[in-house]
Amino acid sequence: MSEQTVVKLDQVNKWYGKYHALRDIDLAVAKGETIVICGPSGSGKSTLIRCLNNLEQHDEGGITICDITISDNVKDIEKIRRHTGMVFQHFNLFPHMTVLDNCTFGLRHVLGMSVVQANEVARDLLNKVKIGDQEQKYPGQLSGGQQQRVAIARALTMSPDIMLFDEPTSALDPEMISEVLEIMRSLSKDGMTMICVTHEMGFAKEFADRIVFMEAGSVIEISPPEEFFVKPKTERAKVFLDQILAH
Amino acid sequence: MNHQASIEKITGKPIEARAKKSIPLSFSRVVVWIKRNLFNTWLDSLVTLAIIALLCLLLPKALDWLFFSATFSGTSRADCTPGAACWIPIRQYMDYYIYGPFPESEQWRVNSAFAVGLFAFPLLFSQRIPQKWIVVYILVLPVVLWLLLKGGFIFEDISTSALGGLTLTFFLGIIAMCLSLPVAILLALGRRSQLPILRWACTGYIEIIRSVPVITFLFMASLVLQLFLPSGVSIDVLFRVLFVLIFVSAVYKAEIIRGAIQAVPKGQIEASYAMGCGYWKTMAYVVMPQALRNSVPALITNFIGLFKETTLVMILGLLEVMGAINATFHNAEWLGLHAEGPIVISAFFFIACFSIAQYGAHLERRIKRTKH
Repeated sequence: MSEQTVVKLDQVNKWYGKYHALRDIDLAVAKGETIVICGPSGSGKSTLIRCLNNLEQHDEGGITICDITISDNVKDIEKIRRHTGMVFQHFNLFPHMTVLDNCTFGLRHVLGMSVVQANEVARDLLNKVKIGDQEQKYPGQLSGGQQQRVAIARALTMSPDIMLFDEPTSALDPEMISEVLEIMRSLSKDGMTMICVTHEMGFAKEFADRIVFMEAGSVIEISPPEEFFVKPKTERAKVFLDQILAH
Repeated sequence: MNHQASIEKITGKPIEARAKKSIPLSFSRVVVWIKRNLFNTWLDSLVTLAIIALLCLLLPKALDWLFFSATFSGTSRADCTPGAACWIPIRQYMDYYIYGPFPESEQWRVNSAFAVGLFAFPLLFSQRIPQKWIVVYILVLPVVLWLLLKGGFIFEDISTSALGGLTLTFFLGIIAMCLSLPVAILLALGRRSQLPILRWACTGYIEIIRSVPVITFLFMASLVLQLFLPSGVSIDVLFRVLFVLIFVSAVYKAEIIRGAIQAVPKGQIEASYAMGCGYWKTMAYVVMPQALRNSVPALITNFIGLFKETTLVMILGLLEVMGAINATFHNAEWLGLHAEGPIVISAFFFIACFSIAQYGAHLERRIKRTKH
């Protein structure tokens, strides 16, 4: 494994009962790369990204994140999760905590930071996602876009090496998508390693280093966006792009 | 501002936020309310009139029996007015109802135990006190009560037979309430555990215990247990009773909490795990706070039930407040007064349980404020 590779998947397979959800996935992601995973629904995009931090367990093959290979060892898995930050489709903010407490949660309970120190780090990141003035509100008092920005800030508090985005804009009203994409753009520019499952093809075109196209549990194409959008290698990708870009 | 301006362009006048007009309460509004709510249809009118008639018939009689013709002061049965309540024995035995046969020189311990217990109200109702302290208080309270009322450490031992009346009810009720909740949380988590043996053990325990009446366990605790213990070994009856109360009521609470845990979205746990948080911290800081908030109404009902169940220890010869009151009315002097005892007992339990319910309502209001 080269020093630059931070995510490496080797012949990863997963089944849900008899359903073959992931089939022989090979993928290597270099430090600082932005990867967009796309494909029709049910193609295994979310399953794949959730396997990376072991929210789903794969059955065969190897997944190595920042030189730690996923195994049954709970300590290793917790270490991997500290190296990765995840942003979910439905934000999954803790509704019983204020915005600030949401963002200091990991710092206090995982890293054992003092409240004062944690608040400082969290405030800094909340300002970065332009939501510093709402820190005493509860998630339920914010709009969807604001909640997702808090969720991104929360994931960033752990200073992850890799950010995983699982359809971060799919549950948002159209007018709020841009504010979340804007944050993702600035992260990508700052050199964060990002793996995004998203249908935002505009974002993919502009910022992805490579696009991973999935279909029925397999990766069928990995190409840079200029190639993928202009001349997709497979017929399936062409159909997919036609459908998604048509509307 | 821009938005405001565009609205102005369309409507020609500024639209500003203003307070809702308040309508003063007037006689005519009251009449309208009565018409609408009590005499809306002929059936409504009939029911209203029937209830008013019933109240007119019963209420004066009841009030007369309870207060106006009742005897409050006096020394013996001869002072009682026939056909009305006689509150003399209640007043005479009040000390006994509260302290039971607790040694008089040590009654300060009972008083301080009540004080420590009632301190729960300012503590639980206050907004400013951190939840950590409340958890500590709930876990320390049973120990303090045991030391004060039963003895141990620097306190002189009090024999179990000296505990009675309100003191005993309070002692059993509070300790059982405080300790059954943590047991219930562990049982609920155990039943949802990934480890099969733990899960089966918790499920089996819950299913068996909740299928058998509490009173049976109390009997078993008093009689059957002695059969299995080696001779000469005996466990204090108070300990056995508490054990039964805690571990039986924990089963019902465990099922309430399990339901509430299942209602916490899976994404909450995933979000916590994704940050590298382990199982116990995720449960303690993410899942349980939400699950407990959602189960407040059901848990409060359970606490009230548990508090009232303490009266069952009567069958083991422990004279808690109900037993103590009943005992005085079996005294030859006061024999034949049937209604006074139950009325006083009801009044006492109503005050205690209604306070618990009020705390529940307060919690719900507070939770509502953070939910949107």
